Amino acid sequence: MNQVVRAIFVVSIVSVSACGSAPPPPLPAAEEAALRSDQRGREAFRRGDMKEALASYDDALRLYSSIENGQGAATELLNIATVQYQLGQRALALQALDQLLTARSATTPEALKAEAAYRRAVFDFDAGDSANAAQWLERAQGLCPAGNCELAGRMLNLKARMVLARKQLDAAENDAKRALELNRRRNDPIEEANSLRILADIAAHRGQHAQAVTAYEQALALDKQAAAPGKIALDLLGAGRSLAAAGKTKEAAEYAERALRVAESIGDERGQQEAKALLNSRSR
Amino acid sequence: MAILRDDDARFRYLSRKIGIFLWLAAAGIALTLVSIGIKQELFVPKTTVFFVTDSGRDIVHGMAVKLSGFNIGKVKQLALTEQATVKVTIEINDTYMKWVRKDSKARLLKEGLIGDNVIEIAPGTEKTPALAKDEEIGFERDRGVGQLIEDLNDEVRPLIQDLRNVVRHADTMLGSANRNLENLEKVTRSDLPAAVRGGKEVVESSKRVVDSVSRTWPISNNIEQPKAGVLPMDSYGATPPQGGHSK
Repeated sequence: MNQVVRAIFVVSIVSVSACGSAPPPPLPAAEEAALRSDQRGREAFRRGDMKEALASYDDALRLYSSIENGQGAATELLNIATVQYQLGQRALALQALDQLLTARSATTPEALKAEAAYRRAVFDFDAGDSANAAQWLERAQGLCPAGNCELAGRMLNLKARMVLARKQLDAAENDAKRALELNRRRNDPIEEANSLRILADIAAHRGQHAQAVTAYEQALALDKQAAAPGKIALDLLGAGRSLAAAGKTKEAAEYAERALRVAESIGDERGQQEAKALLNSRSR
Repeated sequence: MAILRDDDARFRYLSRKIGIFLWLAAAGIALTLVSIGIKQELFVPKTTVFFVTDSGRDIVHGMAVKLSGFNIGKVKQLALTEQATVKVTIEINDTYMKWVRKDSKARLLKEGLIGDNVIEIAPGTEKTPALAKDEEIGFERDRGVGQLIEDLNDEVRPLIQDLRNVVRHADTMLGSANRNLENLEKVTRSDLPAAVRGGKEVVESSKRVVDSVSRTWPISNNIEQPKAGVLPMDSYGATPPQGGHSK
């Protein structure tokens, strides 16, 4: 009874407080149109219709630019870069990021510039240009106040990957452990799984196969929760390789087959190739 | 020559008359003082008890002490102790001491939302003996308006969050229903049957209803203004729906 009275009281206070404040102003027409285009773009991206996504994001960018909305325009440039990258148009993706990074508008938030620099680092690292990637990552970190922005965990993971690529295992482990702690604190399971996968990769490089398999399994559990099939394939492949290196060929093959099935289901060609290579190495 | 004649009849017994007048005046003043004293309960026997609190905030000398809403005494003294706490001495009319027991509690509360602060004594249990002179009584502060608002805020926040989730969920459901209908249209490569088309219209109009409800003041006050969102990209360059190898 007491609970009911309390609930009624709370609801009445909420209603009264809602009525007591002024209604928010409606969005201007151009901004609303831009927002609709942005939402269309996001929907198309989710469907995998990259051309439709690109057209919608272009439209949103034009509308935000027409009303000098720096935040909206910067957001759309990031989205255009992402879609172009997915379409394999790396040069156009970089062009969109550069447009944002060189924007002189005072209304462009620093956080979005940091995001652009971070993505530039990701694209360069993916293309094998580690030197440029490191420079862009440094710039992104410079735009992230006291290393405490929303990007911090992602940037540390990327840095760990870069350091690991240079085979500096101790430094990579240090960064990955910091990233793991930060991502756990921020409750970001995707990046937490990434940190665990990097730590697993480091253990695998050191020949600590049992430790590596454990870390891959932990990452796998998180990636399954997040329903990220591409990452699941990476975890399975990593675990499979470590088991193969430890001489457990039968279990390794099971992991490789699971990875192959996942990669096939999402059309991940690179994943399929790696899984097949692991299976073939067993048969040799 | 005297101005008035001494043998005027009106001056006869003058000194006696003045004496009576002065006595009456003195008696009147004394009566007034006594009645004020009675009114102020100066002559009522009282018992002093005390409580100790961390802070003397909102407690003042002379503040009313009440029991079941009736005045039974007042705050007599506030003193800072060696431990930097505050010892508050209250005096209670002896008549009411029978209800102030060892397990009674003194509570500082506000009468109404903007009323005065008072010390309210909660009567103890019947079996417990009455509190004796100069004994300590338990004390607690009532939750202030600020604390109430804070509590209310804690209650309201999840409600607003739930409301947001409901609206978002409804929007997602309608969005996915819409997409399913669009996909069905693509698969059949022909116009949808009338029933499905009707269903689609219903879904669209429901979406419009939810949209307009979510824009309706005051609901819209509690819903964040929509903003363009950045497509996520993790440290592996992955974005949904692919999620793995970046390319």
